Amino acid sequence: MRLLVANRGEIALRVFRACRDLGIETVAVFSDADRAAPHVAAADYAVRLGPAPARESYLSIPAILDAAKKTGARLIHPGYGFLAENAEFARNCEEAGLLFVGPPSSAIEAMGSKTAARRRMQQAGVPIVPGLTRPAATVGELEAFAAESGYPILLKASAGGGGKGMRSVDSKEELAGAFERVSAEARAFFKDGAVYAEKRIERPRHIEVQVVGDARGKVIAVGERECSLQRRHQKVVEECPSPVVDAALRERLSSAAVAAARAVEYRSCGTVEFLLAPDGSFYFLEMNTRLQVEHPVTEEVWGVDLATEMIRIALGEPLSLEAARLSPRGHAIECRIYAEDPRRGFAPSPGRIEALRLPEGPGVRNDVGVESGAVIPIDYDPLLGKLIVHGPDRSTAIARLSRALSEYEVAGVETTLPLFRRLVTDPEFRDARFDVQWLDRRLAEGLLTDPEATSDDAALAAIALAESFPRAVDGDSAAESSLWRLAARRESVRGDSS
Amino acid sequence: MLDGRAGEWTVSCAGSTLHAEMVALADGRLSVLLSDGRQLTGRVTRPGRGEVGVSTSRGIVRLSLADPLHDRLDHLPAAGGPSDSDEEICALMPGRVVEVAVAPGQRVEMGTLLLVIEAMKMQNEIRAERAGVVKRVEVRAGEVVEGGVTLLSVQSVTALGGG
Repeated sequence: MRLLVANRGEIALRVFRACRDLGIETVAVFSDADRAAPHVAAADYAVRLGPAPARESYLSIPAILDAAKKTGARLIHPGYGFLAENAEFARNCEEAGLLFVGPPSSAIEAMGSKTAARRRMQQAGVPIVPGLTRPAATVGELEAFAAESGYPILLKASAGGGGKGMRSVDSKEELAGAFERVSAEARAFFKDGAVYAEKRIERPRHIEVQVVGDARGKVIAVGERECSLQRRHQKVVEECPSPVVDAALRERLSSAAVAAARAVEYRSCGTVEFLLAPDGSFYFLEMNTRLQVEHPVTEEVWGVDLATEMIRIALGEPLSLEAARLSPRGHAIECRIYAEDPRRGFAPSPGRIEALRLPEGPGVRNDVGVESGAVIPIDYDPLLGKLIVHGPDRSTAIARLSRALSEYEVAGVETTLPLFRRLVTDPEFRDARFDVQWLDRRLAEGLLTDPEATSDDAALAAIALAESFPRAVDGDSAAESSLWRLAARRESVRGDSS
Repeated sequence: MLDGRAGEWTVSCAGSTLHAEMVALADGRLSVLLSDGRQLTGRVTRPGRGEVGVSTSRGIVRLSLADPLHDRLDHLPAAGGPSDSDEEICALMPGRVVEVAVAPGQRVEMGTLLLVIEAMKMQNEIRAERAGVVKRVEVRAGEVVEGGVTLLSVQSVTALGGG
């Protein structure tokens, strides 16, 4: 039995590990930029897809299907991103007689249209964010809605998701312009300019529920995750459980999530996203019909292996997880290590990793897709990997996170590590007093400042530089450098800092 | 400020002085053992002109080198790169010129002996750090020099428009 992962980096490695646990052979696919990548080196079979650009490689359905055919892979796992929520890809796999490790294409399609998903949820009795359930044909429709619900409202691309193709509108005057822009962005990103509107909920938290379903129609929820720490709608830190969700709320969220999944006859792993308002009410936001980046925090707390579960379900096996036997243990936090430069507005920082040191020890897990010496290509999302910590409670998890961050080193490219080091000392983070706008606001207010250099840093620098000076060429004097030259060096390495 | 040789250093900073012993770790980081018992570990990088990066358990800090030396460091042959300034070799402490081994106009390569200076009871060989042509020799054998005095200057090859 062979499984092909239509993806790269850390998620490909994650799924390969699940395959090995199950005794299934692994097939990697790669672009020219990834020939020497760790996910290829980890696989039993590997097939070249094409040149580096995603559209010619990881997004090329024909190339991927050919690779499956060539290697005799029976299972295809799409990972996240790329073709993971492409209903056409899932359909093509089904038609080719391959087992797609994910939901049926119909479920992907149902949840792919945000307006169609909202209508389904309404029918299923799942609360949705107040707003339109069909795309607006005219600005007039949006005006009418806004007049009724009040400003601010959010304009969203119906074919969008993940925070893309959204715009907030604070007043009637801005509406027409915003409608134009969101439509244009929607057409550009998602090839569908349909736009709808929702009431904007103030200071919401992003709470999502993990669901898993099997081919027999059994669907269960496996807890929630807190994903409010977002930078421009991109998650950077995720936690499980949510510090503000008690058992009663968890029960209600789980019921709603299961109802949502059942409404589209969901199978495999998926996530139902909600917005939790400060008053405790919650609303369906969207459903992600794939395995998510942040799945490890659920695995650590609930003691489950979602990747192997997905593969088993794809092979027709019944759910191995029993809702009654599942209970959460402790608290987990995940940090996404991106190759981005926090000092330059988190612009991507491609380049070569000169050194990589990963933390270890109690409660530390690394899901990393790069190695020392690897070149980070510019063609893809710059996620290097994830650091996941687990502890018996949130404060221990945070202490372990601090410890792990002190051991973590990435040299050669800039990363988001300074952000996490700063967060763990922040009182509001430590008290879990945040919402989806919190991180952007704190960053704008100057959350990140360059770390203060100490005399220890200067001493290290000085010694390193002095040691690196060229010695006298004459063999005898090379061993003991002249005091004269060293005096020169002494002058030269006086650092600027105290 | 520091003073020392091959792995053993004396570090003075903000009024206090410590002895430091350094070894390189297998992965390229340094481990420094200070005489007060503390151990420092870090990776030192040269990201750009005049800049030094120090990566420790607290993260990465950036230091800049104080003038005038940052030129000197950036002209290290190991760092490579052309330079279009003359190199002035100065006496950094008082000493006595034992020998002047070159003359103005003489072509030198990296490592060519330029002068021998006696200071602190040791004979110190001053060698050229890169290829060039000796421009001016300011001292004679036997002369006693003060700290800061220019001993000689070498014009780099690239400033002459190529080797």
